[in-house]
Amino acid sequence: MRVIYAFIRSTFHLTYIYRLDFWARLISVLILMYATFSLWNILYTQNPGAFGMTRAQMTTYGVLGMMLAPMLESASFVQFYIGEQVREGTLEMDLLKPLQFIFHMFSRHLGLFVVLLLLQGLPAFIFAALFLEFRMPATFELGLLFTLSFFLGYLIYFAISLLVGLLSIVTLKIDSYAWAYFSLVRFASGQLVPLWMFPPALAAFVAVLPFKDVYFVPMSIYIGAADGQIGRLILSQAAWAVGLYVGVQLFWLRVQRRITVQGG
Amino acid sequence: MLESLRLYPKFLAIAVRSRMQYRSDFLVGLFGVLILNFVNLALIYVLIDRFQALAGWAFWEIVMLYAIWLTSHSVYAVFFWHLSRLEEDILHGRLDQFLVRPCSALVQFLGREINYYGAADVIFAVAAFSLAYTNLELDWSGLHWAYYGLALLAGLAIETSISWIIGSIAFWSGRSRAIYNVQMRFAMLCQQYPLDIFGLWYRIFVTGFLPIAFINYFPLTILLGKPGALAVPWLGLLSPLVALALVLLAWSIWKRGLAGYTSSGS
Repeated sequence: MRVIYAFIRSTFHLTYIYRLDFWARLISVLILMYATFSLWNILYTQNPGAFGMTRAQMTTYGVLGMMLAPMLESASFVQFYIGEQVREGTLEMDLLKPLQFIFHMFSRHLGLFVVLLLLQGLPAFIFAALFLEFRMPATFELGLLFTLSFFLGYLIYFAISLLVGLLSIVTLKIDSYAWAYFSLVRFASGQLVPLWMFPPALAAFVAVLPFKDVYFVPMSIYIGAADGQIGRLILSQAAWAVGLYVGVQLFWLRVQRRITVQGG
Repeated sequence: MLESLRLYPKFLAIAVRSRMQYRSDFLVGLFGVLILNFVNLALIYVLIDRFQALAGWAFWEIVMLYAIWLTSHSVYAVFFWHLSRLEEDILHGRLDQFLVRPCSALVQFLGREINYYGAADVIFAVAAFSLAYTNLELDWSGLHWAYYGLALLAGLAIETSISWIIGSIAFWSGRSRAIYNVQMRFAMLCQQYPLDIFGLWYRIFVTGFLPIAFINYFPLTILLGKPGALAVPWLGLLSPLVALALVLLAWSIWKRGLAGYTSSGS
């Protein structure tokens, strides 16, 4: 707990130093929320009730996808962090720290998550509630289940990114693929368009990947589109999370043996 | 100035050679750009496939909107993208080296870098445009094509000038990259979505204040004979004038900034 708190504090300081970038990112989120709101607003004014959803449900879905993005995307920073340590040759500094490496990575990025939640998520939420007809979940329980599912989504995305980052120690350099990779993630996660609107073949393919558990599952729980199957969805998220962390640990044990520190 | 311009191709040739050191990175980058564009359009396809049209725009019309933006953007990205990163040179005092040589600082700055990821965008844009043209069963006259060519040039000039203006702000503020990133958000939304889906204030903003709607949206309303989101059907014809005004504005801001430039002292 103390470790996590320390990382939260140092991230706050960094945000203060780079406050212009922070404002730019917040404004970008507001613009994106407004754009997705407009998009669903038009589509549902054209075809009210399409796919059994109301206009308010779908605009809320769209706005929520953009609102959650800063927090969820911060999970993916771990792959760049590791990539940079490898490039700069400073990974051993992290290995020397009296912290288990995976736990260290997690606390570092959880600090960022908390800061972003307070400084980007909260203002975005207030803006959306005031100007974009953003709705609260139908019931309090739904809100709690969403929160749980959202956090599981974060854990899953963090584990995937950690795997990609560890992969960069062994072979692959992600940097040049990053754009393409993130656009595929956005697509397969249902951040913009929910899975039930995909053509059936594509939906079936995307459903076996874990990316849907990052955005789509918590977001459909939030708008009440998953009623009746929430338990199953959250269990499947938990299974992915556990499975991915076992994978991360096993992979890390292998990678650790391969790291050789060059005498310098 | 003419002497400087004669040197520009030579600077570019050097930039290309230094970039060619990283050939595999280049190929992967090209591939990435193609996937990125493909995914963008796939999302719009899924939406329009399910909802028939988007505010009166059919799928292939939006592909054309996207392609026109991407064509001028890709040329901008190849030759002028580093204007948006002017702040780095200003902050680190790297502009000094350009000022002591007997050649236009602008030409030296522009000639220093070439970003050929944009090349993949060109391929994608041309392919998307041809497909859209065929699927919309268009049959443009010579006048249409001439205007299309002019609109692409205007689009290139508009995006370059906006980037140049924002980059030059760093002469006074030291930082401008963040402003550029916000601008890019607006630009990418204009690339993918017709202005008709947005509210009145947004439409006015991207027409009058940050005139990115003149890059692709307004010219395309002319080419397709659509009324346009501000109900002024001839607005697209102003695109070249907007471009000219922006270039002049950018040029004068750059000159003022450079005249007051005092290096970073480090």
